[in-house]
Amino acid sequence: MMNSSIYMAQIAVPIGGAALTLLVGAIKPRLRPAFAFLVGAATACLTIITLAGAGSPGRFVIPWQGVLNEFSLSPDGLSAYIAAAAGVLGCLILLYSARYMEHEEGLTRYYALVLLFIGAMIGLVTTDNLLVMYFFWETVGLCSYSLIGFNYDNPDAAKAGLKAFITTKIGDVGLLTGIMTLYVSTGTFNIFEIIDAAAGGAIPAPALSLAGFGFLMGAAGKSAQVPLHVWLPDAMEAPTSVSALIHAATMVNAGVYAIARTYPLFSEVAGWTTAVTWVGAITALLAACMALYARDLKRMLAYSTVSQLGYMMFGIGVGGLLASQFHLLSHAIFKALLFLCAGAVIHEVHTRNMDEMGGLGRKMPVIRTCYLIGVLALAGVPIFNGFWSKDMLFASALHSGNIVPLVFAVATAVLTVIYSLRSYFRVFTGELSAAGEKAHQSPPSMLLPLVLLAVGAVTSWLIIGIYSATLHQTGLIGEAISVGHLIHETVQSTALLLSLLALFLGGAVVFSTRKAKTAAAPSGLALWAGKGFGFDQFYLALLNGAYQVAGAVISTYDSISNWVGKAAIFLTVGFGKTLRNQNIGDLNKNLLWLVSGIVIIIAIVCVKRG
Amino acid sequence: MQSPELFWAMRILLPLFLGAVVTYVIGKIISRIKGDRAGGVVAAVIALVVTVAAYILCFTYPGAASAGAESGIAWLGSLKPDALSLLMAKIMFPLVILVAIYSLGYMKDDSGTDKYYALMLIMAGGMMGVVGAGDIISLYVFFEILSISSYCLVSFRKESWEPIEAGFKYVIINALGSTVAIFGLSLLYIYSGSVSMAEIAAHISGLPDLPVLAALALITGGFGVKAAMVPLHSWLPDAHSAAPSGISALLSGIVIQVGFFALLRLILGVFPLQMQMVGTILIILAAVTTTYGNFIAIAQKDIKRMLAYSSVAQMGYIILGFGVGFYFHSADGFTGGLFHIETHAFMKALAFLSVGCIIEKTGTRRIADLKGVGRVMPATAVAFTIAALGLAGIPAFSGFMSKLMIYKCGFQAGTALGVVLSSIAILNSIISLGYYMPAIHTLFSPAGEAAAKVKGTVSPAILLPIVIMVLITLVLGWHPDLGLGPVNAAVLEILNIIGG
Repeated sequence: MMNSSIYMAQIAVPIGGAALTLLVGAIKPRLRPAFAFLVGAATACLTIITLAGAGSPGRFVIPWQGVLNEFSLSPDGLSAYIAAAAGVLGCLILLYSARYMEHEEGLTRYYALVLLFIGAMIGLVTTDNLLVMYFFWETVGLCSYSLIGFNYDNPDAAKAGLKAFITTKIGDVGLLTGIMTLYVSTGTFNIFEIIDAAAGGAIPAPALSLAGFGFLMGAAGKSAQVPLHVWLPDAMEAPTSVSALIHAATMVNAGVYAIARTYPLFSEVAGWTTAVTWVGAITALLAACMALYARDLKRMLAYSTVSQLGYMMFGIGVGGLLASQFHLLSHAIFKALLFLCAGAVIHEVHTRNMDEMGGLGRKMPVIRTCYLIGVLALAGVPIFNGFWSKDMLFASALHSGNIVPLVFAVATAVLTVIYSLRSYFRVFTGELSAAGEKAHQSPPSMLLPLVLLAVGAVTSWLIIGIYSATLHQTGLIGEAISVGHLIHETVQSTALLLSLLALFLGGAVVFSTRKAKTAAAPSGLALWAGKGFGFDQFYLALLNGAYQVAGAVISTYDSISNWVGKAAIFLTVGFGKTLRNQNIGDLNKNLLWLVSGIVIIIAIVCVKRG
Repeated sequence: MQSPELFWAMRILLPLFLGAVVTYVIGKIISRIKGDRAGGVVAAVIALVVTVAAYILCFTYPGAASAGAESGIAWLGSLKPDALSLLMAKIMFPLVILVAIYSLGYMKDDSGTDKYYALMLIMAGGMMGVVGAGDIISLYVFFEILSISSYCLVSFRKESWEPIEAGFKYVIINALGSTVAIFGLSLLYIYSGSVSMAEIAAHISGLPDLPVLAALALITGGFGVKAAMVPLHSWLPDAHSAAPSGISALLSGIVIQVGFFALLRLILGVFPLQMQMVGTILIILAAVTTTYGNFIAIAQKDIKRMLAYSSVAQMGYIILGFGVGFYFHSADGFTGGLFHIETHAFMKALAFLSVGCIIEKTGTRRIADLKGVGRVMPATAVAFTIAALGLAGIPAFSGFMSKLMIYKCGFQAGTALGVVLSSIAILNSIISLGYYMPAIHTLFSPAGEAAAKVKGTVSPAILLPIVIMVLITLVLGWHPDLGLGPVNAAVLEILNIIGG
């Protein structure tokens, strides 16, 4: 156990850094990237130090009477690694941003928001107080919204930010409902105490069920699961560095994290694991279909992220907590790598449309290699980190006997191989496109993070021993496995056949159609998939309908109340006019009114007396 | 030892009403000698001194311990201040002070501001009278003082037609409400033979059912108009948007809450036995009010009207807190409702003050025309953003904390109804994002014509209250306990009355 104030430090340093960035921006704008990078590096170091103690965490507590109970942090195996991913990837992306963003305006805002995001993300996963988690949950949401709309001169970007914020907020209704239900049944926001209380039967079944599905809804919003996935592809309007950090590697994992964290709590709820499995499986497959027909490089990667997040959800549903979390770490690394490569390419060719790219491999050889490594990891080619974790997912599903969702998952794997390899060929091989004529190799400060991430994508699976031991120590999984054990298991399992089958099928499709120069115009299902299966249109129609109905109701009521009001005014004014005619200053008339008033009052008094 | 009644009369009401006279007379004299603007400044300064002094005096409240100490003045029997009254005083005074400072900058080009500050003090006095009243007549009379002064303030900029029309609507519809309310109050008097709330309450169980119920209905309807419960709200959007922004802030921030408070006072003081029924009525009204207010706010094109409808919706939240409190007999509901009065007062005032500042600089109230204003007036636009996020109940802002307590109460009840109510409340906060976010979005989108019109900096008198309110919204969002002290005392008072 280590000094627990380090937990506070890894949140306070980036958030304090964010505040100081504003100051630096006001005094010496030139120093902003360097300053932000230093803060990021310090944070990364702190998160790595925390990893060492994650097996037997200490607890950092600030008593906070009243509504919040207390502000407490206790990173265990589950959270410390996600926090480390946020810290380290954040640091690499800040380094990358120095050159990538150098010509943009509003950099103070950019760096402050990214640092604030890193701090809030670490806070989100390390706190054990659900309400504090919700605070950070909303804070990362706000950062995401502001960064998607970073380039607010572009109406698409601003709209996408709004869409992301409101869509995830819809999921948050469920999350907040879940948190409050748990709190009311147990009187605490502390997740560990809640799990203990639930084990003792303190939470009535309907409440637990409500909370479980509430959390699933919240997770679906944040982790872009069907049907709340629609915001993530649009969020690609953000600067690519932000897409890599927030919309691929860290924030979108928050939902998966929340589900994994509450898995011991809800796993007994009827239908909950089935729901999680199916949400994940369907998301994975649908998003992979959409990725297949995307022409925009970043959009394709975004659909791919949705699909991979579906895998993680699916993994938790089938009981493979370790597999799911391990895939989360692998994905964070290779998807950040892919996004940063894409960013470097887009930076040079000034288009996101893959049809306008091609042949860039010769101009940008390092980027090409890095992208290829990312693609191989994403496709699940052996020895790359994505292979191991994906294989573990299949094995978990087989083990638990979830065959139909597993078919979905394998089909997804086939599609993943197809779209990822295709994107590589389309961007980096073939004839050099017009847009690529002036492309240059990126500067070293952008290449360094890429190379580091590429190395990570090849080697990160080697930490499985330490990682599973930490999870085991914190009581989340039954037994730890070593690297040798992992290799042994993988080679012997049936799941390996499925992985290889997917690779073979996918590869066959890619290489057999590669020579066909003119792709057939998409039709039917393909066209529909390219449009995201009409989710957006459906929601728009729904909103439009609701708006029309509400508008009709409101305008009817308003016209009625307006009419009543007008009538009241008319009557009053009319009465007033009548009265005025009686009060035109004619003394006789005034006296007459006065006398009659007095007579009436006297009459009333007499009657009362009598 | 001083009794609470004497305290309320001498240290709260007297300074305000006397201060109003002094403000007007001295302001008028100075403006005769030195010109209108100097008169306004002097009036503002006097009004500030009076309110600050009265606010400080609030903290010398002798407390219920000294209740029963004879004052020897018969009229004081019509006052009965308690912790609830004190809470309202502690919310109202800072708000009035901040608005007065704001008006120093905002109203500097208007004529006749000596009247403006005097009216503001009368309005404050009316509110304090309502919250401290102990019999139904003084409650009614103070309410009329409040209504008349706020009517004058709504129509203060009488050179244009809109405020006049809005004031006219305000006065007519509120007079209708008053009539209905006094009809209910007279029923109580006729059957119980007393105007003192304590005495009516003592006799009420012996009275026939029908008139008591009729009285309850009429009083709810009458004060429902003042509290802008849907469907009795139609005067509010006009009045709140046509008034000068400082006054809009007061109207939305505290005056309609005082309307609800009067109803609450009567429910607590006179009808202590029908809690469940009262709870049911309030819950239904609250659900309708919140949902209706939010939906109609989405359709607004005028930013002040949007905020006005959002006040209707937020009023619904406050009423919901009390509704579930009564229905489930739960302290959390009252805490939530009262705390939402507190947080909402500052958030909504912040929204109106920052919007007022934007309107003054750009000369338009159409949301669509405010494009890019956030880039030329960043501080003000960020203040508005904070207010809007707080009103929408996003965590880290004070509105989340008070709404959270209301949600909690519903869940805590453990019944299906409670869960449904809380879910409606949470859903409503999402719906409200449907108008807050586009407004924020417009402020920060690419520059339009209005942004080009902005010239010069915002005066410090305008900026200071905005900054203070931003701080309050943020601090209460992270550390609600700082604002909960007086609320808890008031909740104890309520529980004391309903026997919890």
